[in-house]
This record gives sequence, structure tokens and C-alpha cells, in this order.
Amino acid sequence: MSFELNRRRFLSGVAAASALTVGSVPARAQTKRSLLFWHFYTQPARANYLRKMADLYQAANPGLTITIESMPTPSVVNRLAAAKAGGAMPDLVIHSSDTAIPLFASGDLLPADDLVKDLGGPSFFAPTLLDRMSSYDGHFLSLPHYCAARVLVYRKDRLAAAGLQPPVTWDDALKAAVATTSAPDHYGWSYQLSRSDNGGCSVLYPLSLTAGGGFLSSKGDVHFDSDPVREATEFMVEVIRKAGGPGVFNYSVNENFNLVNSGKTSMTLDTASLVAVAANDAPQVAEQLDAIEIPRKDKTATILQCAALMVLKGKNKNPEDAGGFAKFLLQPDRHLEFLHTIPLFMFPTTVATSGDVFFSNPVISRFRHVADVSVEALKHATLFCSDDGGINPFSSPVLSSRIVEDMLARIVLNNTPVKDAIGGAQQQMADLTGMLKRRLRR
Amino acid sequence: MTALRSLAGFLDRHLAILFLIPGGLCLALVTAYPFVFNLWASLTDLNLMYPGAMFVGLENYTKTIFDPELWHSAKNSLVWTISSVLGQLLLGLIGALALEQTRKGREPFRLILVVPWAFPAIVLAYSWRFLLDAVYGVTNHLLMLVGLIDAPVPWLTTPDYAMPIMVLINIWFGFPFMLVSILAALTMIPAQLYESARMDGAGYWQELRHITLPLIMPVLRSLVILRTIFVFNNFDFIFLTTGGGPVDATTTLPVYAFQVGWQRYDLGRMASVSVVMMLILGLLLATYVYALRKVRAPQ
Repeated sequence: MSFELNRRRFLSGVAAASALTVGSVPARAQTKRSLLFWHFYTQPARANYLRKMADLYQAANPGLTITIESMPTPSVVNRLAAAKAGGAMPDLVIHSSDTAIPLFASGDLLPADDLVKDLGGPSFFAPTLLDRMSSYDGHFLSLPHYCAARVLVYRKDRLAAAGLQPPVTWDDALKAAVATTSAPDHYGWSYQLSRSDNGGCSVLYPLSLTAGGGFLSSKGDVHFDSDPVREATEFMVEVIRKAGGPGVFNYSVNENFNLVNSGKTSMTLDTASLVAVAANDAPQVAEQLDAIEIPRKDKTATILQCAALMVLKGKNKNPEDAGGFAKFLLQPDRHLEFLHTIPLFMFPTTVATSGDVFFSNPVISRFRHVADVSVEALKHATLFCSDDGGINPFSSPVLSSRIVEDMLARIVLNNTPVKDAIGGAQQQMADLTGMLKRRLRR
Repeated sequence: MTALRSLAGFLDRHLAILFLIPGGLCLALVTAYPFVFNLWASLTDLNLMYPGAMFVGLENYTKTIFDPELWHSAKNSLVWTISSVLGQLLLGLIGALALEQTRKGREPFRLILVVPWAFPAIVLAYSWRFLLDAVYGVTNHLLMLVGLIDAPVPWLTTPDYAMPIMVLINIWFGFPFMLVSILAALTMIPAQLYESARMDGAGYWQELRHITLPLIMPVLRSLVILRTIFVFNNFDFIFLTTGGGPVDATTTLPVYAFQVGWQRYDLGRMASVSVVMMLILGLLLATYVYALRKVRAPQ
């Protein structure tokens, strides 16, 4: 049997295949709803807890399917941008609260005003917390899921061996860092200044605050090239050179856990999460850890880290379930269970989960001083670059720009004079905020 | 109706065109569309986070061309590409010639050499980072053990060492591909040519110069051009290992483009960087083709 292919047969075949393909797509069930939920809790304890909560919420809301994707913190902003370009935005995301502003300005975020009202108003949350981490342009942009403040975590045993008290001032901290260095076994104060993370900003900014400075105003006016920032930079550089160790520019922020657990650093600036993880992974090291507020030059200051629930115009167009699930997660008993998944890692954001119910956890009780220092620091902590009140719309782009990390590397590795390096960084920040200002005006 | 009939008649006579249409459409979608979109984006202020884009003419190109970081990254790209490809080629060629002489164990050895290709870039990058880590790394530990260094060396975060080390890692990763390809080419050379040469009194080096190299030259030429394109455009390996640092010691053009677009949100300018990259790569390939045009295999 012979078969000759001609134009008519070819086109008929193509038409039939197309009809079959279209016809085989099942009709969309109208009752089915989906929810895409992103979070940056990569540790199994927190990720498993959220899956359990999603299963509970699904069971209470027949027809709803919640898909959860977790990813490391530094990649969330980039992945959000890529998802936006590809029409695959999540419906609900948990990420650093300052991410909310660019999302709001680009029209991708739905304000959380109604959700706050449903939960009982701003008084449902810890005092002033919403003003500090959510309030922008007359709206509450997100709901705080947990917060933490940066403190100085140090090794009690090494300070005691050096005959030193916990460092209160920069001078104390430098002395302690040098005295607790024993190269190549361990180093006094290892920063994490890799180019792939924002470890430089996270240290230089609070240090500058303690010297009475800051990076930029909430209107985008850059005042980075200033005496307080210069002094803080010089202090950091001196610590790196005298007690930082050879790996400073290789480490990203998450590697702080390994540095502490392996005993490679005697002090570091981070949240109480370091003690929380050590309590589980390196109990002997954890017993030697304690915390104190960030060493200051002139005044006490620190940086607030706040994970926030944000409802987006996601690919499933399902803000009802996204908002409902966000409120579900913040119900006191469930929220407290979450805060205790890794005790001491997360601090309460609501009134109902604060106080004795939070401190009653055995691990938190054991490290009560670390918890108390953190809670005290939380009272005056501000978000990155938000020292003049509210949230700064330019903070997230500056944080992810790596301008500060580059500047520190130039000073330490290329011996660029501090003044020149700060001047260059000021110019780069001004260019960046200038571009964003034009965008926000549009 | 008449036009449709004449079109149908034309397609009856040239059926091959119908078969070419799906492939052509796919090519247009996956190649032409991104290319044209990139050209358009490079003339706008397209941003990663904010919607909309305004036409800004050649502003992105002006900023890019007058940015000293671009030229520094271009220099790094050339060093990274040329050193890596040259190293891979030499090592691959030597390895293939050596392996061609052996009969026993050639296959298992060939298999072992291509193992690195089975791993994703992130595994290789993090393995090397860990090996070379200044505090935990086994390299420093061993070197200190044998007394070659007194204190740990931050291999990947010392500006003078970072690029040479990245090139060495890339040679390690890329030479087996060259080796396997060259070995395949060597097996295609007729044995009679060598027998005739030996009867005429030719030695090993004469055989290599007058028979082996000319006959595998077409393969070498293709390998060099393909690897140059791959290595020049490589982003993940450098980004995952050094992030382009320390400072900008390993910032190649793809990493620079990423920093502009994804860390500083300026997609319009990132698009202009990629156009400049394309021109530089085109220039490099044109130089190769010009240099290699006279080296032809004997008929």
C-alpha cells in the first residue's frame, strides 16, 4: 500500500491534531481554587509546620489546593521579579517586610488594611510594630509573622579567658575581637561580606546608627558620605584586618550559623537565631553563647528584621484565600506553635503570643538572658534605612544592590582610601535612588 | 478566492515549504523574539520591579559604554575565555594523544574523565568553594601540613589569585570534553597513512605535524569556536563560586550584566550590556575564523 503526502492531507492532519489537542484539555472545574504560597523558611521545622497548617486550612476549605514553595532569603526578590515577568506570581508570600513597598508601588501587592481590621485592629499586634514595619502611604502593607533584632552574640568562655567584660562600646568590641582571636583556629569577629549577600549592609547600617548617622532618608536623599558612616566603616575595617580572619569576603549571611557552631568566630552580629540553631546543632557551643546590644559609639541602636505576610495579585487571582490563610496563621495558638518551632529564632509580633506564653518554652527559658536582650532591642529597632520613621521605599533596592559590600571589599582588598570608597558608594546609591524616584513619581 | 487557489497551487508544487513553517516558527519564537525584545528593551528604561517602560533612545548605551566597569569586565571576559579555552585545548589534545596510544583501560578512563559533566554547576561550584575555603578548606590544611604555607590563604577572595584559580577550575571542568572529541577524531584517521609515513622514515613528531594535526584540524576548529561561545557566555560557574568578586576581579560580562539588571533592577541597561557582549563575542569569533581560515585539512 502506498501513501503519498500532499498539501491537502498534510493540512488535514495538522487540523485534526490541533482539534484533538484542544479537545483533550479538561474543562476547568469552577469549584476548584488554588493558592500559591512562597516563603523563605528553608529549615525543615518551619517548612513542615507551614505545610501542616496548609493541610489544616485546606481541610477547612474544601476545593482549595495550597501549593507551597520555599526558597533561600537572598533569592526571593529576584524570583518575584522573574515570576512577575512570567505571569507566575504567588498569591501569598512571606518575606522581609521592606519588600512590600516595591511590590505595592508596582501594583502587585494588595494592602492588608482589611486583614488588620479583621484581626481586631493594630492593637492585635505588638505596640508600634505595624507603624515601624508595615505602614506606608496611609496603608498597612503586610502582616508581621515574626520579628527579631540584631544583637552581638559572643562566646562567654573566650571573653572570660581574656579577662574582658561583654563589649559595650566600639573600643571594647575591638579589644575583645583582638583578644579572642587565635589564628588559624578561631577569629575574634568574622563578618560575612560575600558579594552574593547583604552582610555588609546588615552590619554597617546599625553601627552607623550608633554613631548618629544613617544611609538615606525615606525621600531617597542619600547621606551616606558622612562622618558617622565613615567612622563606622573605619571601625569595621579595623576589626576585619585585626580579627576578621581570612574568610570574611567569602561568607554569606547564612554561613554565620556554621561559623558560630564550629567555634570559628568568637563574636558576631546577628539575631538570637544563632543561639537557637546552636542549641539544637551544637549544644556545647550554645552553652557558651550570650548576647548584648550592638556595641555603640554614641547611642544604642539596632536593626529590625521582620518577616511579613504579603497578599499579592498572584497567578491564581485568589486574594480571599490568601488573606484568609494569612489570618489563620496568626491565630494565637497556631502562631505560638510556629514561634516555638525553632525556639529563640523568632520573636512574637502579636500581643497574644508575647509575654509568659512565649518565654515558657524550655529552650527560651534556658537562654532567658539572650531572649531578654533581644526583646529589649526590639523595642527601639528600626528596619533597614528606616531611621526617620515608617518604611523606606528605597531600602530594599539599596540592600540588594551590593554597593556596601563592594565598597568594603575595595577598602580591605584593594586598599582604596575609605573616603574615596565612601564617595563612590554615595554616588552609586544616588544613581540608584534617582532612578527609583523617577519610577515612583510615574 | 483566486489568491487562495493560487497559494494552494503554489504549496502543491512546493510542499517542502509547509514542512519548514513549524520549524521556522519555533526558531522565530525561541531565537528571533528574545533577540528583538532585547534590542527593544535596550532602548527603554525597563525596570525589574516597576511596570512600564519609556523610550530613552541611546541613553543606556551611553551609560554602558562610559562605565569603566564594563571595560574591566570585558577584559576579564577575554582573559577568562581565551585562557580557559587554550588550557582546555592543550590539555585535551595531550590527553587524547596519550590515551590514543593505550589500548587497555581507555574506555573506563574516558568515562571517569567526563564525570564532572554529570554534576550541575552548583555542586561543582560549592565543592570548589569548600575545597578552597580559607577557614575550613582542605587545600589550606594540606598545604600547611606539608609546610608550603604558614597561614591559611583566602584563595578565592584574594584579587590576584581569584581569576587564575577560576581559569584552572574551568580548565579542569572543560578539558575532558575536548579530550573525548579529539579522541573520536583521532580514531577516524586511516592507519595506512601512518604506516606509509613510517615506511618513508617519519618519526612521531613528523607524523603529528604532517598527519595528525592537519587531519583533526576541522574538529579542533569547531571545538575552539563552540567552547569559546560557551565559556564567554558562562555565568553560573563564576557567579556561584565567587559572585564576580573579590571586588570585581572575576566579574565577566555576563556577571556584570546580571549585577546591572538583577541587583540594581536596571533591565534596560542590562539589555544594552548584552548587545555590547554580542558585539565583542562576534569580534572574537571573527578573529578566530580569520586566524584559522588558512589552516585546512588536506584533501
